[in-house]
Amino acid sequence: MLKKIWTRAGSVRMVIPLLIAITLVSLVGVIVPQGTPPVEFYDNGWREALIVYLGLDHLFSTWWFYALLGLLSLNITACSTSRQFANVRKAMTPHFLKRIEDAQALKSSAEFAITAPPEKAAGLFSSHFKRLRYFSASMDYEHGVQVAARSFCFKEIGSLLFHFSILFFFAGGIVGGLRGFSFVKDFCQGEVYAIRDWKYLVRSDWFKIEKNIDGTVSDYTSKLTVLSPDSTPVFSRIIEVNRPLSYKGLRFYQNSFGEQPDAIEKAVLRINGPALGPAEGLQGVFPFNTSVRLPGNGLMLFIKRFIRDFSLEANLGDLMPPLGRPDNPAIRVVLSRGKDTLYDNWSFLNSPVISQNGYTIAFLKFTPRYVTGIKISHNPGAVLIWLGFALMTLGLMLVFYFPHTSYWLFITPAARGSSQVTIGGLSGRSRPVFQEKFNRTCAFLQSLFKEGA
Amino acid sequence: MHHGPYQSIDLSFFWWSFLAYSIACVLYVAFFGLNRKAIARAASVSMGIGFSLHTAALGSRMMLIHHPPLTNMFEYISLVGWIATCFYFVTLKIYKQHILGAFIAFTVFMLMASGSLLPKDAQMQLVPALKSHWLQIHVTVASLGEAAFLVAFAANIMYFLKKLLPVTSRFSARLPETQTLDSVAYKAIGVGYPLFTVGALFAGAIWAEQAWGSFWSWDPKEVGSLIVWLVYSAYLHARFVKGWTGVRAAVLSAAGFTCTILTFFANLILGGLHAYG
Repeated sequence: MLKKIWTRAGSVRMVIPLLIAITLVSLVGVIVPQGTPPVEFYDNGWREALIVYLGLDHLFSTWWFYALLGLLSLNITACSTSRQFANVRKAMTPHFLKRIEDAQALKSSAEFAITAPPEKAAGLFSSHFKRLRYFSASMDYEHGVQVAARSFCFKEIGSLLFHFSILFFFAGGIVGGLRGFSFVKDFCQGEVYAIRDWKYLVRSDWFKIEKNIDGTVSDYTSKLTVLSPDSTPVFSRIIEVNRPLSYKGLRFYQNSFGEQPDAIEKAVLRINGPALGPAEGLQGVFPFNTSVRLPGNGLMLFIKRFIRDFSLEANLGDLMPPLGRPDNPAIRVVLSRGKDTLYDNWSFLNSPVISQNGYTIAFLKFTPRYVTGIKISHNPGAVLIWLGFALMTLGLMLVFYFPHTSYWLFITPAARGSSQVTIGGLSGRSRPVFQEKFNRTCAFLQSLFKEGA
Repeated sequence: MHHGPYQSIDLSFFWWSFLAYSIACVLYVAFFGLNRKAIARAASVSMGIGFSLHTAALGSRMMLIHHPPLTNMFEYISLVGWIATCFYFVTLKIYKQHILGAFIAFTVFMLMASGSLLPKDAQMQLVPALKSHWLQIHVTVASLGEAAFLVAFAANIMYFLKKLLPVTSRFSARLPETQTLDSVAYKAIGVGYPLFTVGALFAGAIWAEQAWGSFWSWDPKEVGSLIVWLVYSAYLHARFVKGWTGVRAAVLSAAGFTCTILTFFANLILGGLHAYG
């Protein structure tokens, strides 16, 4: 009973609908944008409800998509164990034709006479095919001896490898999903980062954008240094897109490059207020996140926050009307004297200033702080995926480029110890190519006896 | 943008090759009507001239941009058309049937026509992600596979015509036997499937891992390629195990090519990681 279920699970009747189902589902996954909330591409209605209910906006990570892949892997496992191994075993045993007419009916067939009795000829033919690594056997038929020979079972082994390779891909995906991780870390210049559970640190020494003459980006480049836990440099490597760094199970990819969205190097500010005297106030360059004493008045200025693209809802509540610009940098500045905070408010680039306790701070210019985005990835399933690539490539080569060839020879006794041979051949090769090979084989088989004579 | 001494030469060669392919198709239409071998031979000569000009177009574009012309849709279509024309000559050599060549020539013409409608600006500088030797491997081997699928599709079309036209029809009588057409389609898929698997899926996945840090991202083009692979896998599985030939096999094969075309244009409609041009 269990064997029957297992055989059914590995049947073509199961795999074809499964392949069609996965194809159709994947098609839906292509049409419905993935990772986008449905409200962004559909109006409220039954379509959105359906998308949400079935999880079509994240289709490739839904339980039912995994279930389909699970069924496919079950099918492949069942097919491999119940059918593929049996096919290999079967291919190692040449099968015989029922009648001499079956050999004559083949597109490649011939007849020739030899000067040897059928038994001796059968032995010589079998030895010849075995020397060529063919599986060969002989048996008596009603008028003489039949020799069957079949080339090595590359195709069947290829098919077996092909099926197993898919399991390797699934296993690699599962292992990578369960045991691996991947995230992007934005590095400032000189920043050191300790990766959890890994006994080393990584430092970004420098990074740069190389540009073409026309101003387009030629390459993003970062120099990374691996440090031991006591911060001793172990080795350095310049990485770029398509040239990641691999070190002790982790891979570091050049992922992105840009301005840090929440920090700057410095800002140009103009401060006005009672303690600053003249009407034009004080203008200066101030570093980010560092307290600076203003000259001659005991005031301390501290830029405590920066937002690259400010939006009203997220950052300000109802304090300010929306400025309506997508690129809207803002800084939060604190001005204090001793323990008294005189000013603690937002300032927007080239926009009206906010007044607090008689002080205003205008945000005139800023120098962005650049970061290099390094993707840090650990994928213990990668080895299995590479094995899958190798097995499937080998399997495909064996299936498609090593076609099988079979010969059947009916040896009928003739006068004075000689025999008449009827030979038929079948091959997965193209007709003209095989016909040439068949003719050569016939000539060689005949020559075996001429030499003997 | 075009720059340098080869400015527009590549496009001139492209248009001349397109003209030669068009003339070949007109001659093949005449061949359908008049059934003269001389006309079919003239069409083959025209295909040969078109192929030479097409080779010059690809070569001069490569000299212009200093890298193989594989980086946008126009260049890719042009390459697939060029490979399909190679297959046209191979098919003519093996089967020696002008009518088979005629249908492949029509598909090449359709491909070139759709390519002619796309933006043809040469990308002088590659974006960082495309600066890899995997670009050549991935795109060239995948296009070899897709060109083979195109040949299979041409055989499928002929198969359907042979089945649909009345047996008494003169045109039907001139079409190759259904077994031959089935065999051409199968052999073309037999050539295309391993190439597509290795070129489109494996080389693409390996390159994606190097450039983006992930073998697979469920990008529309990736999923499209997977769909193509699944459909042709179903075709081969049904053929090997269940012995499917004839109409059912032809329908599955044609469905595979339809998916190939949809995948071809997937990034134009749906964007994603492959949206380079």
